Amino acid sequence: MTRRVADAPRSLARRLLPLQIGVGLQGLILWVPIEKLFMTQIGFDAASVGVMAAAYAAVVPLLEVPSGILADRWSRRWVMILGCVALVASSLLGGLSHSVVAYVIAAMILGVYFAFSSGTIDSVVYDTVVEETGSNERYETWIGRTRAAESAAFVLSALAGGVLAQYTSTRFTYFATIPLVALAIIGFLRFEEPRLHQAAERVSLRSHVALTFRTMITSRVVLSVLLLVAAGGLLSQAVFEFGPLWLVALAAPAALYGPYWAVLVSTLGVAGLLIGKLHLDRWLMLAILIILSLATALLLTWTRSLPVLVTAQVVLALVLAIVSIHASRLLHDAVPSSVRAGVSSGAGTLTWALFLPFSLAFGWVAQQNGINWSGLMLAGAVVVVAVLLIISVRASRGVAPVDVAATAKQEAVEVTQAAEQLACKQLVELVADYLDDALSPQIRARFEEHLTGCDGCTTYLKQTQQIIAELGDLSTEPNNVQASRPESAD
Amino acid sequence: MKISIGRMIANLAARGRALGNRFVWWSRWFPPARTVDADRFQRGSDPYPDHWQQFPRPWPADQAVQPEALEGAVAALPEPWRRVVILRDGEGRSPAEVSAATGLTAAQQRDVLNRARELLREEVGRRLEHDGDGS
Repeated sequence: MTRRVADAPRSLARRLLPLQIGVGLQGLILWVPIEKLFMTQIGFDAASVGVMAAAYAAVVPLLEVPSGILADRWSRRWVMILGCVALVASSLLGGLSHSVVAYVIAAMILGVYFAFSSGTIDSVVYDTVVEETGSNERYETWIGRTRAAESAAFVLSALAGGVLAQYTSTRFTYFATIPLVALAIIGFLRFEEPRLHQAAERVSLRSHVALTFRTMITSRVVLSVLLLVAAGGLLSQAVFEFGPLWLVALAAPAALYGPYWAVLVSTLGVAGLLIGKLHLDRWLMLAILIILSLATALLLTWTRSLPVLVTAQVVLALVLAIVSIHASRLLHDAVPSSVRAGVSSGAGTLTWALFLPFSLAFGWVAQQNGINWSGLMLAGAVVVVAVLLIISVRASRGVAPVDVAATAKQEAVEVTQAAEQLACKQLVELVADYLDDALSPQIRARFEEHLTGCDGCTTYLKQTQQIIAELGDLSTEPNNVQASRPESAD
Repeated sequence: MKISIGRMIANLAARGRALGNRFVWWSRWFPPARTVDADRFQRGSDPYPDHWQQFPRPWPADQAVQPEALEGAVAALPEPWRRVVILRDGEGRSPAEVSAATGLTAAQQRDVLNRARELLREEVGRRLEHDGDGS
């Protein structure tokens, strides 16, 4: 009998590989870096760019809830595939369009893609991790790797898209995207979807909203941090959405758009790396970030030099990414775990809701007075973000960070230790550890103490033991269920 | 202090934040996976927070667990869970043996067992009650 020790993450890795390949291929949208250039070629001006951004900003929140329901009731994998189909349709229509109206329709179909892929990948990774290891402990690691594949694809497509546009045409990048996304569909088809749909707790939209609202109005800290997250998200989105318009205004060559976009996208990852090294709890650091962002935003309204412009945008995007990560940490600390899902999706929805009027106004101002004048809107938004940042940091000072355990079992142990007693909700997480004699003596004593006084948990434990006994009987019978082992496949 | 890039990005993503741009890092914060649905317990505003909303109903004393019901429930488990349940509870193998066969640590096996047994308990209980109503 051969004993080969295969580690669990390896079978998990094998299972998630097609998904990661699919996500990576889906990220290879070659037209993204030159989109604004192409749009001006087919007759867009700044105002209609604003309308287009508003159009898809309106589609996403509208479709997000129905797509979530579809994913839960039907299949996450097929919802992701539908998202790919929408991306193909959008690229095809975008590439074929010669008018503003046709392209706005393509952008709205792109909104369908955003709505369908939003959150779906996360929940699929989450359920797969739970199905392979029994808990969500390794979720962060694996969603991180999946996101890394995605962001690598963004950077790659930014570089490749610019080069492709230079040597062929901007229009061709749209058609070149289609086969890559079609390959992503094959990746998703080869992925074995988890069957554990009940693994993540579902929260209805109504209770989301109610919980978010209640948490918001009861705590000034949460309210200010929430607004900070939304305003920071809005501003960051505005830089990515309207930044390329400055390049168009200065008639930058097509080849520049690729590297420009790649650097802009990579600020997200760089910010993640930098955040651990920056002391954001110090006022000096916050002051530097605020001055830097204000200076770069004002620079955008004045400069006519391409290198200065690109540098200013990249620095602004980087600072905003750092602020956003910090803000989300403040939110994480200020909000109890039970409503965190609601509050953070509230922040996301708020971002979209704010972005819609902002992009319309931005486009209108740019149309009337030129892109540099709209730059002042960015500077104004920077001031708002700075004020909110200062208020949030001050308000958060008094709040002890809520350290939340990653898994239900860790949470049960921590709660029990803090409260010196065990509730039913915690007991059920510890039953297997109790039966395996893997609890600490202290927790074990509390477990048994709880059992003596609780009929419900006594029944629960008894029934679990009955199941275990019956499972043992089952496999001693002749027509037992065969254990299928991974080795038997070799 | 070494922090892997993956971990960094994960931290970023797991905070459920929408870093707004067209490629918003669509990530939601997920509550820890629970063995028993949180709705089955009383909420913070109820008289006994975190205690059973309704006690698990005791099974009829005269009825044994039906092997077919259990077999059906085992077959419905996700494949990785079924493997652990059959090896550990069915064949009574030791955690070390199951580690060798599946690559799951003893702690991970307990996580799997706790959740899988709860699914089986629920399903078998449902069958028992259903039969009890019928006859």
